[in-house]
Amino acid sequence: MPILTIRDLSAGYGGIPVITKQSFEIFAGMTLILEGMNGSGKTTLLRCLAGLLPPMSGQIIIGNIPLEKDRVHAARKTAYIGHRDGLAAELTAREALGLWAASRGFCPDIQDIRDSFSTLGITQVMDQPVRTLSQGQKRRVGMTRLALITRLGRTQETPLWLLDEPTTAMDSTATAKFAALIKAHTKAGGAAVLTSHHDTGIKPAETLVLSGGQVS
Amino acid sequence: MTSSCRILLAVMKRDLLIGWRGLSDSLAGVTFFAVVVALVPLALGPSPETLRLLGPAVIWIAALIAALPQMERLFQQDAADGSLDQLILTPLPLPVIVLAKVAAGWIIVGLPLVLMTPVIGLLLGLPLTSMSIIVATVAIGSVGLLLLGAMAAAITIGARRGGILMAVLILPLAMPILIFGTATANAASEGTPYSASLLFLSAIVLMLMAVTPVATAAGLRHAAE
Repeated sequence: MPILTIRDLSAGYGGIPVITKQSFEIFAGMTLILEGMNGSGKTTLLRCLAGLLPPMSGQIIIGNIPLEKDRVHAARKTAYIGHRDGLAAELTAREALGLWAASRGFCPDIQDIRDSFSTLGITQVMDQPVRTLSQGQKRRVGMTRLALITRLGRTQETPLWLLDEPTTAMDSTATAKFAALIKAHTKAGGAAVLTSHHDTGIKPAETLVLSGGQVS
Repeated sequence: MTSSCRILLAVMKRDLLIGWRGLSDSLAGVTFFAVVVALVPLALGPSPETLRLLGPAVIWIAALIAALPQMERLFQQDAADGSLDQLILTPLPLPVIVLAKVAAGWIIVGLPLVLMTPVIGLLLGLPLTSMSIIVATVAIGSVGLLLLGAMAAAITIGARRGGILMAVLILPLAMPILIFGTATANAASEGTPYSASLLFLSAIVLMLMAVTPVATAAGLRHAAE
């Protein structure tokens, strides 16, 4: 069974479609990289798949759950990290990750949290307030959520990762660690859909090029 | 503890931690509340009868005005840093998550006002015997104000001059709370029966608790699109 099925999906803003009549399936072990110029609909498609933007028409099925019928259960199966990292400036990096995990119903202990930071190579910033971190460090802290899912063995529960420009502001070392994380996730039976303007170094990966709402 | 409880507690804990680290905002609201009330004797004169007569109304109006700017920020930061997306994707129905956020918001915004009310009441010369009822009306009414405030804050996310828009949205809807809150407080300070108006106030807040989280959730979803 595919992890994600899209049928005749059209989406956009204010009645103007950015994505038109797209259909594809994502299976376990697959990484899909969405490519395309600015405004080609990469973020629109990702936000639609995450359930943040209602489609204009068509169907999104996550596992066997139609997204429009049961957003809560579909949300359990996905992890979405957008352009913005979703980290409150007042919290420390560790608090931000711990509270995010608890808000997903996970119960990590301190070692799980530490290991997640270690996976992205940023253990040293764990106790720093988010507002003091650089853009690249914040991006890595955001991605520790994914490392925590893997560390807790929750891949089957949260198999679909939706990531918008995940390696933006990351240096080459961090990008390599991120690529290894995605590889471990897909190897464990998960799948990832991500947008990128850069070479993420993730192999093997399928690529979809979006141009003006069309897939080529 | 069930997974749902743990999730709701995590949502509350996050907001309380953020609120605690921005304690100066909350203290500014309480100080504003006290200053507005302190201005009343200067404007109306220090006659104890006048202050006792107008005291409950002054407390209510000052509490409403003090809470407004703080309620505006309920979702502002979440929307700016992308936390709103994570909030919407929390695996529980969004109106339930909204209730948890309102509960945390009440502790940060409403509770300091409630704690300050007896002090303000004494300043205005309100009878000590009625103080517990006046505090209770502010406690119950401020929950209603927070529910309305969350709804207006969700609707005005990203709007220019959101503060004015929020006031325009909240103040008319807050009238029933204001009417029954002041009626209860007035009756208590005059020693007349107050239970009917107190029950009406509670009923209004319960109704808001059932209705506004759905509207707030719709506003948040719209803001995230």
